[in-house]
Amino acid sequence: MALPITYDSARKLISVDSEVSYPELQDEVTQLNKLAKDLISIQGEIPESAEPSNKITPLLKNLITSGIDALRKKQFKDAIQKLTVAIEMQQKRANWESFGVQLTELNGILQARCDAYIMNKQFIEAYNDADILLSTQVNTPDNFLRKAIASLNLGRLEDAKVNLERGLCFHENDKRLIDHLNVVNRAIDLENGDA
Amino acid sequence: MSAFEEEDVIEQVSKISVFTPLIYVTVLITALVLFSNFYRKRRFNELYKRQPFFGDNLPKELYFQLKNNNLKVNEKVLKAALLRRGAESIRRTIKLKEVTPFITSLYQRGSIGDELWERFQTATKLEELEVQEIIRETEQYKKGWVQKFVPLLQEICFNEALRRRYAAIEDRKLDLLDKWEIEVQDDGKLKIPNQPKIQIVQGPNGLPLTAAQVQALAQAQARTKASSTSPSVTTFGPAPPENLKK
Repeated sequence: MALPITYDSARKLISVDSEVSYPELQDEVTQLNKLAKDLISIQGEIPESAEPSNKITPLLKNLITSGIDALRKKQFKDAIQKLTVAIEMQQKRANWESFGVQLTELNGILQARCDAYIMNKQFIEAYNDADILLSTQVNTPDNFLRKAIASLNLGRLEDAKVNLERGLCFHENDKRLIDHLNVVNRAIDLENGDA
Repeated sequence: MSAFEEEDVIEQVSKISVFTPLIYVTVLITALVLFSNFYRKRRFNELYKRQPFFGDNLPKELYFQLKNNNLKVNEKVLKAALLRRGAESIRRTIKLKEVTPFITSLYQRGSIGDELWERFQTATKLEELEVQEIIRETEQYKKGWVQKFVPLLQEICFNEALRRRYAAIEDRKLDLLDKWEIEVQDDGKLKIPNQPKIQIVQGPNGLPLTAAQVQALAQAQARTKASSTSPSVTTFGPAPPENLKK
């Protein structure tokens, strides 16, 4: 069966026919268009290697530095804005560029943005960022702590407890995790009327 | 055995027609061919009806549709489609490698049936064929591209997965808010349930009134209202709302 797509030869873009609702195909077409655009923008016939582009790296570094500076100055909204722009910039890297480099960059930005969200009391956003961080960087106690703090402030006490306990499985002597687990346990006792 | 008996045996053997073995072989071969045809048809139908191990391979379908398009598709768009097809193949191969020890172990213990085991084996064979076909296609675009092409596929596969995960963040946030029944304000901060709404009461000059002024105003309004309805009864104004006291 033919897929409901149209090719625009002038813009070199593929689109899904508007009358069809096919989200999976739409995702595929979006990713294909991005890859095709990146491929067209390079000079050679094919990408030679997975080396990251030197054009984006300095811009990205500037944005991350200014975002972290804003975070240190306690300008949390500004920090969130700058770090979000940095993520958008990072996402512009071609998909064939080294995954290791891209993952490290994204994790670095997400860590800073998650902290900014926590400081700005945007806990659901912080929870989501910490969730991504934990799925890509499990062996880091800070990420367990981030997710637990977000969960605690969202009123998800059991979730917070689970995350702290999971963190302690990897780093059993981490003082921050132990302290926060005590706080969460007290909150659970209080909620249950045991305190 | 006597000489007469030997002659009888020779006579009996010589009576068999020369066509008998030919007919025998023909019947045997025909029966085998019929059985083979029947078996292969049945097997093909079974395979055709069998639920695939993976879902639709959209990148592959997209590639073929673009390649066989009547319009002349840009070669780099075709290369991009081939790269995505290869990345999908890598993803499936990794998934198959991940589940191989578990499926093998479950099958050996009898925890899964033959049907799932055969589906898994078919998927493994299909992926091997798919990789070979992609490599052949790659060589059609540029000789010697394979050495550079294959390492990029893994990067594309992983990077796309990471982007998909990041892109899902907004939908995930809405799902969680809905699931946990949490409301957030426009600035992303939580709406605390039962939090009193703070009213800012403006005075005649447009400036906000202090709590004492608001209290006095409320008492005055209450007194006016009470005197208009029952002038004989002395009333004391209602206590101001708790939030205004703050």
